[in-house]
Amino acid sequence: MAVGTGTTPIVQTNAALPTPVKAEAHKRGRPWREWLTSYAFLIPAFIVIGGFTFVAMVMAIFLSFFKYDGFTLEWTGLNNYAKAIVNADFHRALLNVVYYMVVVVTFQTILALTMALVLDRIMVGRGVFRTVYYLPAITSSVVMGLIFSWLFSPGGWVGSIVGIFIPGLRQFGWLLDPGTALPAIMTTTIWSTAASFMIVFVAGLQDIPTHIYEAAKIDGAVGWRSLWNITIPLLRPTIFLVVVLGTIGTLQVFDQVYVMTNGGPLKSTLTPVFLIYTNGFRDFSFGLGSAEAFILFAIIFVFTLIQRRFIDTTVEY
Amino acid sequence: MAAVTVNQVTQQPNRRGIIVTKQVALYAAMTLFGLIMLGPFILAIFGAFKSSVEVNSYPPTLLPQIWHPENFVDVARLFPQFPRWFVNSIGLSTAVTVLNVFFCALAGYAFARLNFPGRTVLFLAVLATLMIPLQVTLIPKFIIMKQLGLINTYPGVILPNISTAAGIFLMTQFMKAIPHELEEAAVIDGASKWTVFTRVILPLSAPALTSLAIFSFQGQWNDFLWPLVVLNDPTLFTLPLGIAGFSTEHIANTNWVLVGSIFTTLPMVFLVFFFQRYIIKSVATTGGK
Repeated sequence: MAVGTGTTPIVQTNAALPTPVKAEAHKRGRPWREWLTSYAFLIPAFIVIGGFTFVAMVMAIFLSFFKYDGFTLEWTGLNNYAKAIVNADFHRALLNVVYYMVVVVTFQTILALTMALVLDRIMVGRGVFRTVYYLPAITSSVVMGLIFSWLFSPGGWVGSIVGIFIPGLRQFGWLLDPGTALPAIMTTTIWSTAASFMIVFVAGLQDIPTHIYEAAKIDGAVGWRSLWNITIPLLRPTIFLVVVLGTIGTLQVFDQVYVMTNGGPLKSTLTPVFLIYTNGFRDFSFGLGSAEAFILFAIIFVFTLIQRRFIDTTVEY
Repeated sequence: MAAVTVNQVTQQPNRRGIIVTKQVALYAAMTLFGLIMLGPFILAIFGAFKSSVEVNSYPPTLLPQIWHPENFVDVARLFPQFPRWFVNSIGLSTAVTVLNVFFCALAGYAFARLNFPGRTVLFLAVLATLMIPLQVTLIPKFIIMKQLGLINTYPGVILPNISTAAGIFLMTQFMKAIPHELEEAAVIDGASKWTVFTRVILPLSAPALTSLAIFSFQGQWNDFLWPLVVLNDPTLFTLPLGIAGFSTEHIANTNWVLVGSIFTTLPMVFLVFFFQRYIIKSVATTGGK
């Protein structure tokens, strides 16, 4: 049986029972009433999702071919895309965000998996540890950014602790140096997102049937061997999910950058979404912002496809 | 394989001791790690009680030399907008939670249990929107809001969030699994679809509704980019928006910024403490958001 991370219907057996004839006849009588009810139930959701996602998406495509500042609309063809592609800031932003994505996704996935595996192994106090480990995940990215800005400030806690080993770095301003600003933001993000993906792994581990471990134990696979040969392969769909969600999330990083560095110093923390925000809402180049958004969308899409090729998600029990 | 078995047998007398040592080491490592995860919170809480000088002094102190609990009062007293931001955050998050849960449940019920033309196509269309990243629709959403005259209003903040594809998916999956007999009993009694929905399906969907409610509340509470785009009037700000602006205006008063951070985080901490099991369950169903 192939089991993914999808849902397992709890009462599947009940749902498969034959439906009473009486109710069936009632239903067949006036199908259009059920249609109308259905559409009525769907209206609120369709106005919201249709308006703010579908219509907005079409508008974004349209806008990306125009020069629009909120007042005058001027057809420019592919000019916005050309402008974005040759723009040094956009290059910088893309390079930054790919570097950010690779580091953050790698570390957060390993950390999240380790935390979940450890939580799965202990017998006492699982709930307490889980809550403690999960707390960073529910903290607002702004609060996280503010607290870490303070910790990374010159003479702050990070400098003081690193300074024990490397005295020269005691008063170092981590967010003020182009070489360390982005890694500082990465650390902030990993600290909080590892926690949220840990829960995904905790749920994934619960999906693995215990009889598989028991069978493996009889065959002599315990400890690391059981982890490496059974747990990790069976977690592949969950790992894929975490990597994909992590990639999509990191490529869209904005909040931390806005709060901690504003894209500086020397554009070392400039990211595409930050650039889209500044182009759109500080310079009012809505067309250019939309074109940049589509290029980023394409990049996210390509990365997701690549990961799909490399991580085999089919699991056979 | 044989080697492993032999090893285990010879170690039999010591096995208990080894297991105990292993568990102790494991717990020590976990506690240390827990401290790293909690560290920034602990430092922030102590920092919030320090004077504005001490909070940024070098070398940093763990505990405040003189405790300043009045920081918590000062923030509200000197900046009346702080309590206002808190109220805004509570109000907007509550509104989004109630509306999103209700609308997603309605749509989920239709997709899961009613027959109508175009059901599959519409459901796939909803799922497809999960792929569209936020930044693509950001500028058009702003323009739509401007056309509707909803810039700088509460409806402008919440409207795009009161029905979500992920919420509809969660509801549909959950409601599909509810046994049909329960519904049919009500139908035979002559109940309308609306009655079935409110009297039978909604009560049975309580776990899924709770999960979605938690995620909606948390999502809206922590949301930053969209409120930043829609709101300019500081009296309408939510807490994250408010303290982000506050921190740039009062760079020297990190202690106040930390007080604001604590007020922004506490409601989320309560949420996790009371609803932890729902969070894990719903992650198991939806895989994240």
